[in-house]
Amino acid sequence: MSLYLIEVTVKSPIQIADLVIGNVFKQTKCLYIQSNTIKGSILSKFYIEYNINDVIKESNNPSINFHPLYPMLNGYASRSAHLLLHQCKLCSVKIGSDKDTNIFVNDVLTNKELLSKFRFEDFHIPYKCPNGHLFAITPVKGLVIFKDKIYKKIGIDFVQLESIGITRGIGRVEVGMLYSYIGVKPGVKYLGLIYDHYDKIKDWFGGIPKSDIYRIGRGVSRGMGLIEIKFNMLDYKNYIDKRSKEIKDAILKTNGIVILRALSPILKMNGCEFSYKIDLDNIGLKPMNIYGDLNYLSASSEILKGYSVYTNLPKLSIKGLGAGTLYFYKVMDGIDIELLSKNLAELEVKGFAEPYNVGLNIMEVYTDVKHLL
Amino acid sequence: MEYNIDLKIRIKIEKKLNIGSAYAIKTKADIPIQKILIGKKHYLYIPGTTLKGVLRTSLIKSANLLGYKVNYHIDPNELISSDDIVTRLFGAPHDKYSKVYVDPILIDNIETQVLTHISIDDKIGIVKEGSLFTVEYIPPGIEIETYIRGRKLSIEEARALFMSILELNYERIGKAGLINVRIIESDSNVPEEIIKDDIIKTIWEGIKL
Repeated sequence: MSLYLIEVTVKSPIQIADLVIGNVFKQTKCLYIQSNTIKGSILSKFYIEYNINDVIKESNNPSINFHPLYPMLNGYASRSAHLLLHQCKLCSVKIGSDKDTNIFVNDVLTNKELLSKFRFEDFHIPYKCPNGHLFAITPVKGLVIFKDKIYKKIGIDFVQLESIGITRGIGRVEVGMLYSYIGVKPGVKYLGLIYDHYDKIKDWFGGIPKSDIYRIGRGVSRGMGLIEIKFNMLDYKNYIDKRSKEIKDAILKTNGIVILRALSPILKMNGCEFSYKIDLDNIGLKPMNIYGDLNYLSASSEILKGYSVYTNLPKLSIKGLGAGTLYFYKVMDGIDIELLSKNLAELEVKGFAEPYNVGLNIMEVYTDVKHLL
Repeated sequence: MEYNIDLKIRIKIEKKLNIGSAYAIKTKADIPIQKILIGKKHYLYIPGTTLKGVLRTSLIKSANLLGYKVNYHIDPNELISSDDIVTRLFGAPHDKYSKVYVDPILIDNIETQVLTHISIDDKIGIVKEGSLFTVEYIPPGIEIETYIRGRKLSIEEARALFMSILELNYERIGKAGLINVRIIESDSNVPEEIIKDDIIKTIWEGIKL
């Protein structure tokens, strides 16, 4: 089994569009790059340029697990904001005198007692910010980074480009053919993981793929969507050990509560059944229900869709809980925390429920909480 | 048989070149060149779509020499039903993927020039009221480089691609700009079977550096 950390640098404006308003093609509202998009980009290049025909099997029987790519800022990978982060509309950018942010964390994540009794019915958005502004609190939307024990919101730079259609007969602009494209600016960096259980990528390449230019999103034949991808091979055992330790620390700090944060849309498929419930009884976690029999705090829903270059057909659209959804679990009695942490670290890499190989159900243990409590 | 071709192209500006944008920052001229701010530096941006559009026009004009009949319409609705060499090579809406990929060009460290123009009223032969405007240009003599890549091309499609690159030398680009195009042999990747073709060999020998 192989684990790769991929670093993506945008070289020309990228546009992963699902929003078309008239002749304006707008970047999708999803600020990270979904798993299936990066998977398509990499595998298309393998198929078209490196002539690796085995790649086709991946579209029928996927086994390589691509994680979503999140933008990076100053070496920190961002994450989707969740419902327990708030910001004050009046505080501009400062909360307190030494913190360069207007984001603050709900008491649920800073108080062990409140966390252990957390029920959605009792959950209230604070009416007052730490600086005393009343009724100016709003949920944080978009992406945040966690640095020096505080959350900061990050933005992605966009660029607007226009294209016109030229009439070939007289060489002038064709009426009605003015198009605008809003895409991510060159220079933005993303970070993500690839887990290849059967070492397929290594077999195809006879080693680790070299850094190269790939194409992603819309308009790739006319120069948009150029990205440079660097593949860094990680030592799987070291990665799991390091992550297990962080997870174990977080579990001990929360007194046996495990919070999972969704990185991709969440939808469990079991045959013809669809569900948002992720059962982890097998590794010793029982759901900590916060509303009725639900154990999650949902971010807004997200749609996973795509287009197959191979079959020339649109892929099935799947709607799931959005990235930033929080799942709450309690450790069952008599469970070895060491082993549980290792299992969780492995599930982070592999995905928490089927069908993780198509870009669903990728989550991570919310270890930020050990710095907040 | 299908071939992949990578061509590194050197473009020398022969006549002042402007590829404008309605949304570019209008500090320098009324019609500025498209720029992208990366970090703290502004780069001039020549989109791939501009070069690809001119390549397409070139092929429409020269396809007859290769014995092809082509559709010169650009309306997406008409292109959908088209199946000529131009649509096979450069694509059409929906399921006809382009086999040609043109990289955009980001340019830094060049001084652009701003020229002032007027427009003349054809009826009375003097300048139109309020039609004094400035245009930002990349001056002649500047050399820029980019890649044109063909993927899974048949020999016929490769011929058409080389023909359209040759024809670029005679096409207007942007606001009436003219360019000289050469292929840098050392950085290009063309299969030998392709070069053996008579038409491609003639073009290749003529424009390679």
